[in-house]
Amino acid sequence: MNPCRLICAFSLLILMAAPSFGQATALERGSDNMKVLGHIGLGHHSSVTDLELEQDLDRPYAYIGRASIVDGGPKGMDVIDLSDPSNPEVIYRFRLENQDLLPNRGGMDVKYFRTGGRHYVVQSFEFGGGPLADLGAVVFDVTDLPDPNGVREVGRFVLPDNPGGMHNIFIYKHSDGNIYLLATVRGDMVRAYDLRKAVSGDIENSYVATIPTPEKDDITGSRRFYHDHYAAFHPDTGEDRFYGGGNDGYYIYDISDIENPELRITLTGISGVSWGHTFTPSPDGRFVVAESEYQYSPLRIFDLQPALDGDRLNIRQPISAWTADWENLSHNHEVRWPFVFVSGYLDGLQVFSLMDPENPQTVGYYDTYVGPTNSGFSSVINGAFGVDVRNADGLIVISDMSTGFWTFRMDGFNGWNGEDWGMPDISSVQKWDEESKEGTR
Amino acid sequence: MDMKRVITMVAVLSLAAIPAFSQRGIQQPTHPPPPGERGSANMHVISHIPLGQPGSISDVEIEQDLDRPYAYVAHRGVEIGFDVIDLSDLNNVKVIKRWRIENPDLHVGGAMDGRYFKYKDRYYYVQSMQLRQSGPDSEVGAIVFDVTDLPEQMTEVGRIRQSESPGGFHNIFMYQHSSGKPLLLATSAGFAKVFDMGMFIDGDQTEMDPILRDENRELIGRIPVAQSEGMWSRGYHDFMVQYHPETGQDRFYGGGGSGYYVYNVTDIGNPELLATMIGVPGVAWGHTFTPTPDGNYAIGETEFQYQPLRIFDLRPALNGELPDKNIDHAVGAWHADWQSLAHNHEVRWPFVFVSGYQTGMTVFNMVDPTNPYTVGYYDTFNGIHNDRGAAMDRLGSPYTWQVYDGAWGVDVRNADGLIVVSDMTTGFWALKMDGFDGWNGEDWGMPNISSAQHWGNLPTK
Repeated sequence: MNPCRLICAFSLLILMAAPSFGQATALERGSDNMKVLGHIGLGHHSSVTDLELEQDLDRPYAYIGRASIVDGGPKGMDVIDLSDPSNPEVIYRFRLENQDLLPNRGGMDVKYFRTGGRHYVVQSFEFGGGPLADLGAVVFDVTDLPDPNGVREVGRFVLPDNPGGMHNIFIYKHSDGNIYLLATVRGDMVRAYDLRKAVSGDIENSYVATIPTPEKDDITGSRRFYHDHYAAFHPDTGEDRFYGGGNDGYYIYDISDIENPELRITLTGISGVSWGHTFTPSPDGRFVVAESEYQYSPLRIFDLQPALDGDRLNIRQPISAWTADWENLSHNHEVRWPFVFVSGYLDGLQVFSLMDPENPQTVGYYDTYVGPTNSGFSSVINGAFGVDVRNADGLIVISDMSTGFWTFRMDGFNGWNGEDWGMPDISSVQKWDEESKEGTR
Repeated sequence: MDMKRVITMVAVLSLAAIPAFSQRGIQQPTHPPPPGERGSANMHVISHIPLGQPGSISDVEIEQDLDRPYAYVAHRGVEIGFDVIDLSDLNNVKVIKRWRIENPDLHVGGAMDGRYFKYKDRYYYVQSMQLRQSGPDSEVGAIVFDVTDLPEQMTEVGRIRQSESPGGFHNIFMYQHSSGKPLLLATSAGFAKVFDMGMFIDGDQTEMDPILRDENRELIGRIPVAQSEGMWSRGYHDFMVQYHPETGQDRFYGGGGSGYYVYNVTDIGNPELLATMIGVPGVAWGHTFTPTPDGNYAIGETEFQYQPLRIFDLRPALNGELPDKNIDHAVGAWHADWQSLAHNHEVRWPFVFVSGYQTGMTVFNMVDPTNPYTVGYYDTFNGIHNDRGAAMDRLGSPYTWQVYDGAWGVDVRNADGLIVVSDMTTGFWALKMDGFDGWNGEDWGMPNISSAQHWGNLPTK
């Protein structure tokens, strides 16, 4: 047989037999363009939750929530030193008091902020009962890292009337110069807290406002809720906008006046979405990536333009969707347009491109979890829980519920500034040194 | 290049690319398939007949007796009616009758589901209708034809009307009840309404009957949807009824409301709720719902893009292990293409034949219900996939998520394994799958129960 024809024939067979791009195998855990820099295990399976990476290269620290999702995990937070990303090291472990008295769950979401020349971390907690059922979050002063003895607890957000804790938090540098903690609260929706007041010793009076979900006759009380949220400045309108996933779908509010949120856009009545989970806009606020937390559900991409133009209030049809593996479930994500970095539970770290929002394409992956699918909690909830990206150099970090902490680099992604992509330089990363959008307030 | 080196190189490459052993089944290519590769190697096209305007074809039904080789394909939109297709010569399949509703310019809507039955040695075909109130006959749910004398002739016997709930019947099912009655079940006004078709056919017995006749005369039962909080829909979308040998019950399997429902309908006037599948993540509403021959498992469809077919194990609810009788999760799921949507399906254990809209006809094996896998396919729809703009322009409906085109209905003739598909745009297809030359449940260690009824033979426990 002609060698060329033979090669062609076998090449075709190979293409047909090869797994779909984006799906790892046990021996090929990652795409060629994704490099593992470092990895450390953190202990008991299903004990790692979300993570946060500081953005300044001279503060190379990551914070990871620790919880007992099934049994046996610690309830607290770990601090990891990334001065050498290929050799991450745990330098501080915070554990809540009386661990044995605490039921399952623990530290969930974690975010950092900076004010008055000091650096702080807020670790959210969630307990369904026990002595700390009213604990929402703990605030730490971490300015003196890497000295572990310098880490100091500043205060606690306590919710005596709303036990159950804070599942997700987001810290937003508002255009008015204030810094708000936006937190999901059991029995309420998202509460906004003034963090400058909180760290100045008046945490009890730092609660500023509640951002609601829209009122509906048949949805009352605890059936109005958010699961996760985000806030970003919207340059076209000059508004601070809140993006939340909760009962019935997703909602966007103008929170320029934080005490008087105004509903801007709803995304409800979406086929296959009875409630919204994570919800993240593109830097310009035109597109959003929306997650719904159940097996088989892809990430859906919505184009908000008809609502932004005022043609309608509600959007119910995605323009596209993306999944690494339709039999699994994607979790959190970070948008660095055109890339979306996904912590995809059983699928590990995945990166897809929204360059063509109607046809998202996987551009890189690494499977951080190759363990059993049934760990006693949910058959699809294990593996990569949280993801973050350092804009200064493109470092990618993953918190895996069972395999711990990972650092990555993706070829050609050496940092991110939205303007390099023709977009506003807006992401989850806050610009702490910016006093206000006008620079005067 | 040295031939040995070439062979070694490609052999290594091939091994490296072979999927893990646990990945069984075959992978249906995403759209568009390479030229000449619309189907798997084991699937053969016997016949294809285009039937008219794109988007105008709905469901299909095939008679089971080989000596009555007829299939019925429904039309909607511009031409409302159905075609009868003669399959007596599989090398020369042809349309032999075209029935269209009178005054076509006045009627709006379409003919949807079609089912045949046999009663007192005559054969009847029931065509469900959904005619909008902007035209006449919106109270007509179905039209019944005597098709005994095909291929020569067929005659309209009568129309089933429901004036109190206009809009027609979207789906119907013909069931030979264990009582011996041929029952028509129809989606209507929040129920699966049950009509005694023997009573309908027998017609007027006295001279006074035509005067006293009530349009509900044959309506002998209403199967409700179990009520729950925040229901997406109040009615059923689709259903099936099947004898359950283990208990001797006639069981109804319906999709609608907030999910799926199983009722004991042995006493058709007093349906008894046996199980629900509500609160299933991703399933706000049930569409098609089909049990396995033994009634242990059921396949549930929900009519939304990105949703797979889910497989439910009914036993925990039916065996009394769940106090609330509710199953809230699937044990398995199957997709031809996750970006698309599967539609109707016919179970011939262990195979499930799926009319998958834009993915065409696909067959999967559910011998292990937790790991279903594809065993054959043919893409009957070679139009544009996922084209929202084109779909909206052409179908002109807000009720579209750009995935509703292609294979609508599927049926299987048990006697010889002939597979028929109605494609909304490309028309009628007849297919054969290698190694599938017929189906009898007992050959697979199952009761010989499927959607194909054994007219005249009562089921035995």
